[in-house]
Amino acid sequence: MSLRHQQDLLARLYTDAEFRAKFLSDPQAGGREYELSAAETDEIATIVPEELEFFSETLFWKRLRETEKLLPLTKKALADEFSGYFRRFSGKFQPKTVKKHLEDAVAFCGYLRKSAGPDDLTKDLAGYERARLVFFGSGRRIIVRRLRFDLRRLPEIGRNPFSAENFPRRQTIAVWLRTGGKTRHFLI
Amino acid sequence: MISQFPNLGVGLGFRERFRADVFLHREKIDFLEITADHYLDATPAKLDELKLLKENFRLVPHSLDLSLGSAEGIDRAYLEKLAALIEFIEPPWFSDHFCFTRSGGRRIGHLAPVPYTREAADVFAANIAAVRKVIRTPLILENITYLMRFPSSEMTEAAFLKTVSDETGCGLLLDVTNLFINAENFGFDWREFLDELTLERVVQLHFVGSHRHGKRLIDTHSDKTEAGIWEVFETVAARAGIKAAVLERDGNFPPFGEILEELEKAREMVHIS
Repeated sequence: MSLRHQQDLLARLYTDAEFRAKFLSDPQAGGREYELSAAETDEIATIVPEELEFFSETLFWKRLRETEKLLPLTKKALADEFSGYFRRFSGKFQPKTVKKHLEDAVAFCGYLRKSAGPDDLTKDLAGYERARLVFFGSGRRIIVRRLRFDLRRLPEIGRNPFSAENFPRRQTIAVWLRTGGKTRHFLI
Repeated sequence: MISQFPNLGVGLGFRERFRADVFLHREKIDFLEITADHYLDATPAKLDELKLLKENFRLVPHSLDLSLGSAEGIDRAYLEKLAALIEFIEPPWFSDHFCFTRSGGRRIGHLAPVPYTREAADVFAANIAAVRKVIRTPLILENITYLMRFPSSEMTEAAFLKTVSDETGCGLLLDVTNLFINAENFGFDWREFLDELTLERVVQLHFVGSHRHGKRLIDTHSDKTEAGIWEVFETVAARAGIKAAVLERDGNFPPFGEILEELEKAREMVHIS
């Protein structure tokens, strides 16, 4: 068996839940897609499905945990729904660079903002965190983001739950600025 | 070659969480192992952090994404960035893993095992040769945990590690926690694994606690090192002329005093040659 074809197939199985389910129900079809013979495909298929699923789930939870760390406000706003949204997102997005967790987090914010489910406040928080990550991750000198809610109250909220009552609708501008070797952040 | 590596002592895998504590307790930490990937394409703040660490500690880079087991070859862009980092740090060695992390345009995001075959050993040899053309600093290779084994494997894991190490001349970074976890999950005797492996090639150890998830042990790097893993550690330390050991704690962070206690316990067990 060509190791390269085997690894191409395995990488897809580990990272694409939809393809994994299709492969487990019809291994030969998945193997043909990667130019593996019937015998070669059978060998991959002998990997116990539970072990394959467990490994893949381990990868998913690792991506999720790292993304949650980078997006604490969005996580707090979505609470238990965060993982469901991230699962739908992660099957469709593959990071390409060494900053894979940052890429995941930035792209996930973009996904949330385009999704129908999250409320406007959550989308605003995701946009706010996305802008912050891009600023600190890219080394850009300035980033300005327009918000629909008054996020100036963020420090007062502390551990209390987020709600639209906490954050009245108000046009707000978030600015991150790098000057004189220091970074500054304003909400206006 | 390996016998000429310097003795580094017992160090800690640096995490941002430890930033203040490592400086407060500098005399109790012999060196720091940094995750190389955190400093590739780094922000000015991360580069400042790296300079500060370099000024105060001996550093050894540990990379995650060379993907030395990838049959499609090495990612040149990643290799060149890693080379620049290593040139800046000037470490005595650097390390990566016995695994592949990308194939067919996909980054798996984790360390995935390869089948233990002649073909896979040749892939490692070719990729290591490609790395050496760019990075002259010695490379050592770490054993990983795995949740599945390939029926096509032609040799045991220990024989595979030994084959690649012998044929490439690379030293080994033996993660005693990974060995303990694999032995528990797949029901083999870690002592037999050590007998089969070439222990004289072991340069460095990794250790931390394992984590039970249902019927399996997994390597979350979030638990205190338990007795079974200390037993593997002590056995290897007594039999191999290791140059360094590193505690790898990534989560469920305890008070820093507990970290220091683990470093001290390791220090009592190792006889750095």
